[in-house]
Amino acid sequence: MPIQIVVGTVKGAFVFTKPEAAGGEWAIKGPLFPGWKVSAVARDQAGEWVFATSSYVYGAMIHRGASLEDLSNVEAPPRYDESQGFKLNEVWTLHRDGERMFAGVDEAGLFVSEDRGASWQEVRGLTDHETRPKWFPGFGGLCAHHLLTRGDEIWCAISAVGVMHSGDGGKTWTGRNAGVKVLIEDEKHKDIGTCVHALVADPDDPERIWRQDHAGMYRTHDGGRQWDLIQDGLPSTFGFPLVRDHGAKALFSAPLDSDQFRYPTNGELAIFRSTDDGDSWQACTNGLPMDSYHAVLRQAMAVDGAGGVYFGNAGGEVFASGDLGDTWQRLPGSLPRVLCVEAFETTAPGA
Amino acid sequence: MVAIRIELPAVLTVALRREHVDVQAETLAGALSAAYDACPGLAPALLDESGAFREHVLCLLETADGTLNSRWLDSLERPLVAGERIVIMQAVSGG
Repeated sequence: MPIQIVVGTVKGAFVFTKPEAAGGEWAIKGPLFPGWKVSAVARDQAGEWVFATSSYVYGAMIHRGASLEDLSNVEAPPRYDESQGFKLNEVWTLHRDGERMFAGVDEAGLFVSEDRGASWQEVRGLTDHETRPKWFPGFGGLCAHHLLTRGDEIWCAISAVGVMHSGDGGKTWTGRNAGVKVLIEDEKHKDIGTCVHALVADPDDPERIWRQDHAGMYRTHDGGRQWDLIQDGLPSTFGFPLVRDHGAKALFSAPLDSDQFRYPTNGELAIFRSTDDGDSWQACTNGLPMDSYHAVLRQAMAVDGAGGVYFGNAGGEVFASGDLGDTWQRLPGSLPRVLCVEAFETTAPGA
Repeated sequence: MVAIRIELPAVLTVALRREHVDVQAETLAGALSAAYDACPGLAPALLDESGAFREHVLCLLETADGTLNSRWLDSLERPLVAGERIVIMQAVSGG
């Protein structure tokens, strides 16, 4: 399967093309959007590319196009109304749900596009939630960074708030964080104050969801009404990305020593894999360097559904495995700090 | 009406895929408004949610008497003179 890996960094995006022949060399091209943070990338239902970029100076933009060589900014990117008093600093995630596309943003909120990313409407039910005045930012900002959808149900992961759930397409929301360690307890609202870092669901059983939190790895069997710790074999409770190869039923995480130090435990870069739905975890290190003190950030790991696992770190290194993490190779290039990694078939999803 | 060019900085050129915007206007405000209409995405890049220039955006007017920073003006309704040029820059502090 021809695969392209898009790596978003703080200074542009880079595209790796997987060699079709065994032993072939990976090709790298870029940067796309030099000088811009590239924080999320997706393809819409028609296969068009959608990129989220941001700048400390110029704010957030959305670009789309049929090819990587022809990406244009959209006229109406996500933007808060002035009356709300929020700033839209960055788009953290782009989530495709059929013909709709959602954008989770910093400051935390949710936008939806019904026209393939050309224009965006705020999901006011979330930003108008009664707990919103009590939301506070994590170290990476106050950001909505992972989304799951099923019909009218939406799960939205916000740091440092927790998982918010809507059963009516975003009109009303409730926190779904029972069982998860609260970091800073609110005086009144007991369903916020957790710090979710990543969220992934089982497409065959969407009520079964895994979450990497600031203080633990969790799983739910009931859509988040109750969460249970699952960290047997993990070297720490802290880490950012969590992805799943749904065909192989394999989960992958990248634990860090602690929220104090934020680097691989003992400098031993390791991806941890679970093939029993999170009951146990094993280190995958074959081909990964020792003496590595760079974190793997929240969106910086991806799978391709055919055994491929890919991640980049804050030191600008990108690694690939073609065998579900058994062995790894470092891809060419020394990039800026890696923010996001996504894997795509080179053919369009609808093609 | 005066023909005037708005020069964009390199980073913005990358995102908007153009180096400048040429408009006809009578005032600085009019030129900027015309540029926002002519270049989709320029307004949200330069203006914050309140409609003011973002904190690190500089709008300079190059005149026969020197460079005028828009922040020195009480109003952007400053009349334009033929031969002037608007330059957008990013005021990034630090090393």
